[in-house]
Amino acid sequence: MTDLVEVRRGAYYDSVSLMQVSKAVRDAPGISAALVAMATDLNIDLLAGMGFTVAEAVGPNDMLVAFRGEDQTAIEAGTSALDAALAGLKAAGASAGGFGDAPPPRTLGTAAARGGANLALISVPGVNAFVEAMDAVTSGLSVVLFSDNVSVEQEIALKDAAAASDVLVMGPDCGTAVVAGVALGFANLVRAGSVGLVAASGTGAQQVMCLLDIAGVGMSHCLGVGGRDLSSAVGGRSTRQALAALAADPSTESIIVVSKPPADEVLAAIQAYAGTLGKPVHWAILGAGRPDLTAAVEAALPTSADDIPVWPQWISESQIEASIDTKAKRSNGFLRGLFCGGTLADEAMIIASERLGPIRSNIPLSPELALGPDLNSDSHAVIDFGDDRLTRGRPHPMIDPSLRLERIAVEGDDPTCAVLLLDLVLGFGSHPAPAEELAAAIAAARKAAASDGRELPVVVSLIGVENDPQGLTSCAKTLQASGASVFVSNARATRRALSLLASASAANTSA
Amino acid sequence: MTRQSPPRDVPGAGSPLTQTVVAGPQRQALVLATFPSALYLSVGDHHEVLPIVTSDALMLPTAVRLSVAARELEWGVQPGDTVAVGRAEIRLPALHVRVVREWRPARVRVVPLLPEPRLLSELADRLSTHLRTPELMDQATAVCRAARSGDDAGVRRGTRQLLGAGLGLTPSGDDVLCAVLLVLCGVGDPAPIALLGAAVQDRWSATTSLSASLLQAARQGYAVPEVAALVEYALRGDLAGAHEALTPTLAIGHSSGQDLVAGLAGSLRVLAATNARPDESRTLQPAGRRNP
Repeated sequence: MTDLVEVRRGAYYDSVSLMQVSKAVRDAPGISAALVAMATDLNIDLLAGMGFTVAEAVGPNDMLVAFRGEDQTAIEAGTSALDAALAGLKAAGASAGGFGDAPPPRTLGTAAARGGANLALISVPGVNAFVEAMDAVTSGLSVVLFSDNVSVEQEIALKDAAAASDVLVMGPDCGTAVVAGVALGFANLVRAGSVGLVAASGTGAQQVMCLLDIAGVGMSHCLGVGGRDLSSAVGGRSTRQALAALAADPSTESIIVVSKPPADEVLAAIQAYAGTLGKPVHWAILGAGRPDLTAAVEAALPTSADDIPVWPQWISESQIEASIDTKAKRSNGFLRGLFCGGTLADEAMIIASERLGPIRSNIPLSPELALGPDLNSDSHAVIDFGDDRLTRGRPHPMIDPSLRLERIAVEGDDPTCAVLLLDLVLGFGSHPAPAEELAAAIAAARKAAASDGRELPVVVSLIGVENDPQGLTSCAKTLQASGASVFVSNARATRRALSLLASASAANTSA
Repeated sequence: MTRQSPPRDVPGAGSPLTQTVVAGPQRQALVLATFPSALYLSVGDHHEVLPIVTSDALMLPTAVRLSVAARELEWGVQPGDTVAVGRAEIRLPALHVRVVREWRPARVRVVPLLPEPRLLSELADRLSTHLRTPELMDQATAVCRAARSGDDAGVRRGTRQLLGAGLGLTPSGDDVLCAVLLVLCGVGDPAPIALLGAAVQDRWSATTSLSASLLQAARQGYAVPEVAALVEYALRGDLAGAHEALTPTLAIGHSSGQDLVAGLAGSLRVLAATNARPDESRTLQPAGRRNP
């Protein structure tokens, strides 16, 4: 056996830290006993009781290290473990435990000042979000404000403060952002490139970044600005900041602005501002008479019209048979869209209403089309399960799809449901294996309809890329196997669903 | 040849407990330890320590407190260095602290009338639920009982067992003794304080210098504000106040807060047992508390 006893002067640690260090040394291979402690009388007695001899003169302000190994190799292992454990304490700021280590920061501003961060992700209840976000902004941080239920007045105050500090407020209710390749919130693992996104829409931004990736085009950043940013009240304050940031970013060569239907005057002002930036800015703005998101991406691709990619799709066998049989009867009844993404639901309604007329919804295109609280409808309807009123007290349906799965079962039993249009959003933040549950629900709904003598076509817009943790193709094939046709373009999926409706066909013919 | 930049001037506030050292003639002080928010200087005998702390540090009752936070400061010295202290200045190579005012450290005041034993006992029970090592509470009870009953041998035996017991900077046993001293100060009977104080003083060298200096302060009722508040609330029988002050006390150090609470709980048990004088006792209501 070999003993090592040494004195380390000027090393002050609290008891718990030294117990951890003692244990780390004791756990080293070949070590049979170890104690690391201040050299108080009682601790020297303790060492003597363990059989150690302290040869040199020590005082209680010295730290004693003593351990026993089976040979010199064990002593070396013990010394390594000691040094690593003490270094770990220093790195964790654990020395002295309150008698000198810097206290942990209590506010976001203090943390920012200490850590050198330049961006804060804030996800606290809405009532507290303003204070935290303002603390961050005034500390020179850009903010991803995931929280919702922030008032418009607070949003404006935050964004004005951000402009004064030359930082960006992404949000409130910003679910999607990708900054320099780091996904914040719901986002897809898309390739790096030169297209920057400014997005007043979460799932809209995901649709655009995924289509770009599938087309082989990479993204520099996706800066969310919050769904209200292009409203008359907010006036595009963050959109301007984000455009300026991307204009100044050397890795960004062109920009796409993605938004739900904006206030016309705000859009005009932003477009005028974008014209001064010196970089091409493309517009993926939802609204009647405007290009859908897929068309907007196609227009923004740095290729000629002939090179526009064929967007992947996985058509179900039953729908292939129906398309071959030109006499096949189209489904009578109504379109039912059940969405997790609000922007995807909006886009589907805008496209479908051109053919079907008014569509009832919990996020209607005009107020008179609002569904009642039970969300039941005896006509064409699109429901956004990610709407705030349906996520109160429960996770977003991209994480917990149970409400929508229940509704799919209801539609399977409903003879007025002619076509089911669904979305599924992959990527970080979303359910880790969403396709299986959705496929099972689709198969069950189709089976229920079939038992009632009905064919229930199902169409899914699948928003994702191959590199997403869930895998695009494997999810698509799982859904296809359940009897659904799958499209990476929400607009294509919607048009496919419409093509399966007898009423849409008739309307189209008469148009 | 490079020119060294002049030392930075930082104003500080001195404690009356170390005023003699800080305002007295200049002397050499040995740097015991440096941390981001504290610099500990040995300024004389083993128990004479002058902490220099930043504005965000624990408010040790003997400390010179600076107006700047830890992140804004580099001490620029190492353990073993010597620095100059005196004439209201602490002179480091890169830092000149000028002590321009005095601050008033928290002190446990005498509580003239203790609550009824039942309440003290209940408080002790509640506090004991937060302890990882209940044996420390038993040791506190023993030493407090000995001090209250004038049992010098018992006090010295307890002190020997506790002083310097524990691995770290302020050993657990010292924290227990600090709490017992603070409780005795709150009760206000000078004899037990003198007895325990003398026993501790005779064994200063058995513990670290910083811990000895804190024991010396506790002997006069001085402590960090969180602990002084907890002791005073407890001695008044103010359950709500004690509950409020408990959390910040438990947060002191990794184990110091718990050890202080063990000392307090053990002492309260003694008071509950020896304060059973129904004709003089009274029940204090939680309402209407004031800041200690």
